[in-house]
Amino acid sequence: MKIQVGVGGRDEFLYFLNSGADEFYAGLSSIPGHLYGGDNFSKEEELIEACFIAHSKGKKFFIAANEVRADLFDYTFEKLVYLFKEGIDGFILRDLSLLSAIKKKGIKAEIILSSLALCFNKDCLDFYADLGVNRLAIPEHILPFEAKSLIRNRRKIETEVFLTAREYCVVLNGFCYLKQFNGNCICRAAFKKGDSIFAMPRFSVKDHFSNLWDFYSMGAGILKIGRHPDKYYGKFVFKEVMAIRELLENCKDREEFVEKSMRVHSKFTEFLKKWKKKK
Amino acid sequence: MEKEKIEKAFFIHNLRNISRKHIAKLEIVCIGSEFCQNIVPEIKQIKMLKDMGAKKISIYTSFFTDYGISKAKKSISKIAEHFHDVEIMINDLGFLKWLNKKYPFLKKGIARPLSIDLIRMSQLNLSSFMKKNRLSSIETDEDNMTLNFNEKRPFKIYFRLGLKFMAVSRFCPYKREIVSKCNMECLGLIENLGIPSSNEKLISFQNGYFIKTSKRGKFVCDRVVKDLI
Repeated sequence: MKIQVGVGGRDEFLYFLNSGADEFYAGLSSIPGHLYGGDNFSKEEELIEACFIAHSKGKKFFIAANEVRADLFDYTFEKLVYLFKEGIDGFILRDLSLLSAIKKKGIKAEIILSSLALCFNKDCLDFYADLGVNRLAIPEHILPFEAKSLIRNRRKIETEVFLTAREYCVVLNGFCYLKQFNGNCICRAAFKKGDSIFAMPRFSVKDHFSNLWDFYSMGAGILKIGRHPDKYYGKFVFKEVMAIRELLENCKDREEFVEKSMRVHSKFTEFLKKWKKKK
Repeated sequence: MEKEKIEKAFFIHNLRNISRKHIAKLEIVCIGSEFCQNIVPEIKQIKMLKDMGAKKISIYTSFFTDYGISKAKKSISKIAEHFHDVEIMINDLGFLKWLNKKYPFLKKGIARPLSIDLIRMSQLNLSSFMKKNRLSSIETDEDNMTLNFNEKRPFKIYFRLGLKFMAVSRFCPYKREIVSKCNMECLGLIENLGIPSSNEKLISFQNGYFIKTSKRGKFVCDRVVKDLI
């Protein structure tokens, strides 16, 4: 299983390249992208250079342009065309008009449908495949039996999954306005409901790892790591993902994988807690 | 500025709570769900609404898994075979693809949350998408976004009043898990959630989270859709 890492700059990219990441994605500040506090590359020359270095090691480099902005459409399209010509392997998208434009232009890039898109069934995957999508980042709120037709699809579309035990939104994060109350994410808050507390329901840690085992067993080929505002945090997540991947590849069944990965996850969580306290 | 002769539609979330007399007065009746794939109207409900005097019916659908889309296809097929004048509001592009293949002349529009992306396209791009996919309307609750489109647009804008969308999950807040089948016990059920360190309330309804809006800015639309709660 390949590991794909989101990177926010040159130094971060080089760190993960030398640490064994298989693929990379990044944003460019001037292109609309969905970012949870991580960084974008500010200069396209640095992006192109990173891509060139990745290629020299036989790795791929993608650009995330996974938001919709009418005012930036023309600019974004032209920029993506330019970056593709300069060597970028493909794009992470969800904008239907961008998908159409890229297809119309005949650009043979790898087009990854963002996990933010509402793609939960094979008919929907077909719709996007007709627009040129040839890779899918599985949405976070899906059960393995629901994802089966997406992973084992008839269009030979590769699938990516996040390590949702570590990176997960309690609501569909492509359509979330919950930050508008106080500028912070409140989906994990304890809401007051009458005399009791309401927490938005979500997968348990065990569910996350059980699902991951199933996704992997069905054929999901890429494990994704998002960009993080704190570079040290990003590195911890990467180390955890490396450990989890090893378990995926070596455990004999789901039970063994879930037990061992939960232990690994727990150790990393403790470590992160201590590190955060020291900060 | 509101346009003249704006259509008025009313979204009925629980048909048990509305009388024949009331239905007959409504210009357009909306049923279904944008957020939960389990709430797909059946033909018996459409027949009942027609018997009660409903003039126009708009059926709202959610985004689906394979199981959900299979159920929705069966239901909507029966409805579409009998009632050619229903309108289907869509959140699933796979469902749209199927509708265009099987019932190309059925009136169709894009509902929330899918419309959140599409309403952010330019008028040119959105018009092209709508035309290519035989869509005649797009619904939003974002008043400011409607101002990006001029009157020459080849699609209608529906403006949603009542529950303003904030977030959606595939987890049912009542069953507390992702649910394929249920008895729709939540129909019409609304719960207020107090937000920590805030005086505002979040509303839990079906699989979505909302706020109530009484104030709104300028907007343009061809139809106002109001939640009857």
